[in-house]
Amino acid sequence: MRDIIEKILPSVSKPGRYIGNELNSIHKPHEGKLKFALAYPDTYEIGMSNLGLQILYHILNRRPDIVAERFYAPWPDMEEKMKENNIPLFSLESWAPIKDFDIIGFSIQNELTYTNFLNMLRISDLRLYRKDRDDSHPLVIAGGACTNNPEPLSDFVDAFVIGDGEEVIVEIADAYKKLEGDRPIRDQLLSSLSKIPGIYVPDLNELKDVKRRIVKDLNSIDYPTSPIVPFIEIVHDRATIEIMRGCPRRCKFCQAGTVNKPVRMLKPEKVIALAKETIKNTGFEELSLVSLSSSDYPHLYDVARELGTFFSPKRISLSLPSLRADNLKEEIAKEMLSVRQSGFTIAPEAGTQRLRDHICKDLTEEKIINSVKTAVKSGSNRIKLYFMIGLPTETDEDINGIVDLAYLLIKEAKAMTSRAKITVNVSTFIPKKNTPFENEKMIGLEEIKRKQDYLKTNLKHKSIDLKWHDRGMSTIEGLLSTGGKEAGKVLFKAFEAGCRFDNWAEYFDYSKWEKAIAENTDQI
Amino acid sequence: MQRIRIKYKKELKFIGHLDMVRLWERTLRRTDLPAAYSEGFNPRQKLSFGPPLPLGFTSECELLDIYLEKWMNPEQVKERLAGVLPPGIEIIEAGNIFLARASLTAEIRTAVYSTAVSQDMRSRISEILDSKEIVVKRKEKDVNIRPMIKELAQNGNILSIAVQCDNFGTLKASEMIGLFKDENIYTFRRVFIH
Ligand code: SF4
Repeated sequence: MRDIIEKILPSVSKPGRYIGNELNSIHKPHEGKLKFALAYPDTYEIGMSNLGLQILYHILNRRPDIVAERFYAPWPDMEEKMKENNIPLFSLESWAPIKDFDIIGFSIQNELTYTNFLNMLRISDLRLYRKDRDDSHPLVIAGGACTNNPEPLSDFVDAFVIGDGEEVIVEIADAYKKLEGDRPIRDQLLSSLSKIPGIYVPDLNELKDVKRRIVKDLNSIDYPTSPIVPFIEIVHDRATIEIMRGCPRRCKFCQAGTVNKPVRMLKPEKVIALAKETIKNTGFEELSLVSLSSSDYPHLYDVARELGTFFSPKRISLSLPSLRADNLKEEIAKEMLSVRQSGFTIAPEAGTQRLRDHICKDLTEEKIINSVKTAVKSGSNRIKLYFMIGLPTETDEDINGIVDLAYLLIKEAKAMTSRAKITVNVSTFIPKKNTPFENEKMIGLEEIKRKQDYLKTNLKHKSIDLKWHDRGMSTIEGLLSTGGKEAGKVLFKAFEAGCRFDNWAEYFDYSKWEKAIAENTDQI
Repeated sequence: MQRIRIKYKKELKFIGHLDMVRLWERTLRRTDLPAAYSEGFNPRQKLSFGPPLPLGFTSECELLDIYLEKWMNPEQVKERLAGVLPPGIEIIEAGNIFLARASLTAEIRTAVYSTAVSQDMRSRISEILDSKEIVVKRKEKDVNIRPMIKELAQNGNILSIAVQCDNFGTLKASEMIGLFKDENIYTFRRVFIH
């Protein structure tokens, strides 16, 4: 198989996606070990950027009796070549087919990767519906943000992990190993999994009874300090340390903030030690301290200062991607820039104070203006603003508020530097599960268009860059993140109609989804 | 400042030139060698590379110059780098060269490639060598690549080709492979550059 793959690779785009063997990747003989496939239903560059999967890869491979290998979705040109040559989906480490593995764990972070998830099963010659798989097939489990609403996938996935995966993944492996035989009897396996807290096995337990798994102490996680260093450039091409899980704020639309409770933090000395060790083992030129809201991490300044001193001789830059500028101290902003600026983000989410209050976004106009000033004062000319349209109780006045606020901010920023630039990112509100807004309605396609058009017409300024989410994509994301089993039927139809890589503008085809939705309503 | 020239083998077929630049920067950063950096807002390591190796090819003669702030024994530099290199890259030798010497891209003119073949290619080789012009399209423009082929021969089952690769012209990998009109010839190994 290796020969054939090597012969295919010169003719596909970005062949470096498929070759593995990166620094710090782990290769073990399979003999006598539990074989765990870790799969991400998107490209290598996106999948490799997922921190959770790197952690699980490390935790599983630390065990001498387990071997974990990675699988990503092949790009359509590669998929075609694989089909022509009868090559099933293979792992990056041993180039072994996924069918040879005992457990396949999918990390599902985005609803628009669902069709890729199905496709990865299909090109592995595995049955899509769980009822069609038997004892000879690997167990298919799924975890990640999307398992907040598992039902659309519940006909395809054998078991879902709901919540933090670091502890439960080992419990799953142990439950598997405890059972007799090379491939345990499926029913026995599923029944034992259904007893593990945080696991939802469709048909065996009720979703409402499944308690979310929480790792109590972030400091107890066996955090990888030798993450894989990719050869090709990936989306988040840097070392990453998660400094805090959960968010102290209570924005009513926010799923991550609502479900990840309580807020847990990594001790500052641990952050520093992990950061130094990771840089030593990887040589990355950038280290990112991530969390839902990094400026709420109380030791941020101390950590940033200490790392800044350590990093500057090697010109390593420190980045804080979810830095909310609203409570940012100037000193921190300066510290960041002494290494390299990464741009500032402010997320007012709504254009008027009334609506910000309604969604519990703790930001006043004054605070927003001040954060813009802080950002500019510390030398950052690029400011990113995040807004949502379609929020509950929203009226046209609120939409106009986005326009007014953006103009006000660019005026303030321009008064300080003529080079100031603002990007306004507009997404569409989705009433995500497990949030205070879960029973609200999402606006329809036409209404999204009307609101986006209003912004496009009224927000015209040479220093303001307006960006919006594709309304078709938002609609499908809404369907899959709020729907039940019937959404799974639509998904299957759309998949059969050829939908793949739905979060990629060049592949997303709303008309196919629309047809799948229409066909499904016909049947009911 | 010290300039050290490193010669290395590259077995990684599908890692392109820009990825190699990043790979070497990260490799150097994994050591505590006193790498020299450029000035400016976005400082980068001072590294300079020989002619890019085409994607899909391997090599046993890649060249790279690294610059250090403080003098070090090149053997020691080689050892430290070797300890942190990813699989697929292997240093053959490291040695001092004059700081003022011309850059690798200015010095290197020719690259020699070889590949194993099972069939007799001699008639195709004569055809290529006897032709005055071999025209290929580059962005809508006709280019005669015949002058870029300096030597071409088959010895036993090894096919070798020496081609121009400098600032005045470089034979592309796809053009080189295309010369032979044979689907079994799709990759080469770079064996020598000078
Ligand atoms: S601050 Fe951000 S992460 Fe925290 S609850 Fe609000 S939206 Fe969610």
